[in-house]
Amino acid sequence: MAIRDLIPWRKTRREDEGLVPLDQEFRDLFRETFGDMFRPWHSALARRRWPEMKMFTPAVDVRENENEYVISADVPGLEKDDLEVSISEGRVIISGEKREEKKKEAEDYLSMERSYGSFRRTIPLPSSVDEDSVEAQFKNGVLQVRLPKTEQARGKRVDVRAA
Amino acid sequence: MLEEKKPMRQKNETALSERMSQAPTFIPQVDIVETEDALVLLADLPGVNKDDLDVILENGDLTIEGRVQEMHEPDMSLYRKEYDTGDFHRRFHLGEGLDAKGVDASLHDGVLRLTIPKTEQYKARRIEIKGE
Repeated sequence: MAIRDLIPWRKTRREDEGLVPLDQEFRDLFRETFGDMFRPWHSALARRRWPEMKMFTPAVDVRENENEYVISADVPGLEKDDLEVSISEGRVIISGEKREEKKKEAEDYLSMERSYGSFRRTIPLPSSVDEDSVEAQFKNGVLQVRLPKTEQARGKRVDVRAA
Repeated sequence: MLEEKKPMRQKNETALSERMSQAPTFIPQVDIVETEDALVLLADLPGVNKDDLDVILENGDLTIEGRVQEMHEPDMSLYRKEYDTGDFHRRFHLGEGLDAKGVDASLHDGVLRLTIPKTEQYKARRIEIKGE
């Protein structure tokens, strides 16, 4: 028995979730169809061995309170310079690339569950933010982007008077 | 050589009965790469600090346990949710041919890298071919 038979294939965290946003699904479909064309040969081989392997696309959470939006994304294995965050027309664009570890010829994958590749996520925001004071922080493989809401977007409480 | 310990815990199942936290526990995704003289295990553990990560070797079992600190202020409400945060847990059995004492671990940008050396007799050896 080959060693790799001893290592069971686990479903990825995202697949377990059951909830995959539509744009992500479309992206996956595109990549499954054309992805290999743009990948180095060893990745293509690895994909054949582990057909369930997906291209890396980080899941994104958006939180808000009265004053700001906070976007967070799990991007383990990326370095600060692999990531780019931009904002335009009320949308935040997070892009980057998760690179495979450099391999020597003598190295062989026994298990490949982590996914690699470049990604681009576009996150629309429901109200306007102050684009000049957006802050992005990267720590322990988690990206966090803080976007302060503009004065108008914060909204005003309307007093309800008794008639 | 490296075998996953079963039964595996499924997502959303409480991993350890003595756990105090309410957060779900995830099975981290790993790559295992075989080199000439070691197995290298790479595990994605986003959000785990060095101080919140335990790699435990016991009776030939290697357990990876990472805890994730909640990063958000309690007054924040979710506007869009695609993932859960929670802790990580996964266990492997080091079989014959691996040197448990020589395990080396490092954590960088949310990725744990474990290097498990092979024992001398399992290292690949080039056999010299003699001529006439």
